[in-house]
Amino acid sequence: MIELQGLSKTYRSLLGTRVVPALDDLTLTLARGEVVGVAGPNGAGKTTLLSLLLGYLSPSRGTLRIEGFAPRAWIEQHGAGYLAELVAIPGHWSVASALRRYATLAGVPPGRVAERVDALLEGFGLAEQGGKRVRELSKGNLQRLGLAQALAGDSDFVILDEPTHGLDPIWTQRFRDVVRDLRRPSRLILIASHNLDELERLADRVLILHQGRLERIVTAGAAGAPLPGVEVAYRLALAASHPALARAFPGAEAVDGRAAEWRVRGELAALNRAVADLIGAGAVVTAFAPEESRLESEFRAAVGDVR
Amino acid sequence: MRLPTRYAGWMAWDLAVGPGIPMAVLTVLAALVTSRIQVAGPMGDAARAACAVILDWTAIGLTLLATGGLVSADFAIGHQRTLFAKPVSPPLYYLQRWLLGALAVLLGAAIVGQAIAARFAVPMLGLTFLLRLALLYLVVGGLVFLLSTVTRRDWLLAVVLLTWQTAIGLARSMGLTEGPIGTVLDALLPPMPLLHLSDPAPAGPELAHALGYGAAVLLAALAVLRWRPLARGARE
Repeated sequence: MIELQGLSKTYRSLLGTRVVPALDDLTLTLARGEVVGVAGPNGAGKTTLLSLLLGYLSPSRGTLRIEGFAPRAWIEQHGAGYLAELVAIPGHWSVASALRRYATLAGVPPGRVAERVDALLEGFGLAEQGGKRVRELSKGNLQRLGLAQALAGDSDFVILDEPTHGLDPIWTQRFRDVVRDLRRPSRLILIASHNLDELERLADRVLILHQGRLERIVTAGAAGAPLPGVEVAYRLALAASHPALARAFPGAEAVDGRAAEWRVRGELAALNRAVADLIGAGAVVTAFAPEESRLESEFRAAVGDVR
Repeated sequence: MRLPTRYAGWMAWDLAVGPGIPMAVLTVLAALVTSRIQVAGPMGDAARAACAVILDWTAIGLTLLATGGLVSADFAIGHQRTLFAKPVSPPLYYLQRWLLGALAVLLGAAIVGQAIAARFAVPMLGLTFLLRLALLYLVVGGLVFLLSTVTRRDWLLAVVLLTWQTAIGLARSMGLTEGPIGTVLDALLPPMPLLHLSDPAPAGPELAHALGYGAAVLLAALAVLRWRPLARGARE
């Protein structure tokens, strides 16, 4: 659906005295049916990439095509479901009237706008806020309104920039359901986020950007499979401290001084054997989980200590 | 093909409840003032001239209100990022809003014109009046539209330019002449002397000048909207 060839973007001041490279030589293909995550530290180029995809900015070098068209031409014809990082909606509009406007702009037929708006208000828990001014909304409600307007149309191209920013845990969980419901073979969904756990749960692939470069692409689904021969860190929790622990895991470190939780390191197969020994000795293991996911490991490897 | 007229209704509503309110206040004030000016006796000609000036500046004021912040208000808060992810063309979106502003100015100025016509018992409204009003809107409204695509202080800058233009006109009437740089700068300013609503309508080269200026600023505004970035970088 989308092809990027050697895509680069450099910001220049008016007189050209200040040059800031934002993206450097991205080559990539994004297909319909995918959910693609975009991760990276602040200033990595995530939002610049999204702005280029929407045709809001022009590349300094390279090409970007959506189904063969320049992004702006494609967006003006088909539209995209877009949630900006900072939700900016005129404060004097009411919530319901804002959604009516965005549904109309998105091309919802006039006879179906009211029905669509009601569904969005209901679906995003804004039914009771419909008559409120946008400026009166809390941060979380504003973010939900931002999500609702992004999905006012039925676009096959959805871009969500920090979608769970400001959402409470309940709505963060519901957002995952929203993305799962959005999935369909004809639709491409891009999610830019600092929340690696969220990307790991939702995305098929995660692009890791650092200083404008595409450092690596992590395929999700392999999250629980550390590379063979690589030392990994796991957390081990026991129902109660057990004397066999020191023998099974000689290097175990207590986590934050807690009595029954330890950080253990080693190759995964060796850790499994040690856990089996521990259980064999009568210890009750209540949890054994990777301290960081595959995506977190890849992210750390790609960007170093920048986080 | 989705037509921009699909959102003309709420755009008109936003215009009515936004700039429409100060426009209505200005219209009512101007109509009241012109209806109370002394018209009998030796002051009649002066009153008529005063009404003509009030009509001109009311039309200009209405135009500034209708077009001020046309583009810049959205860009100032980053709303364009949300707007133009929808299947919407920025030039067509703002052109439609500009045209709705023309209708509002036409309505307001027509009310003031009608008040003057009634007071002096002279025909004021008619096709010629409307065409001259349209020409004024094309020139002044087009200029503010263009300024609005590049600066947040569009109407303020327009007021400065119009004041400058007025000052130059006054200087000329006092017999002062301008140098070559002044002549070039003067060509960049809107041809306000050709736009007085109660003067004889411009014709020939003067009409071509006014039309050409208005068309140029309007097309320049649309071109800027077509080619300018809709985001300024990572963050607004």
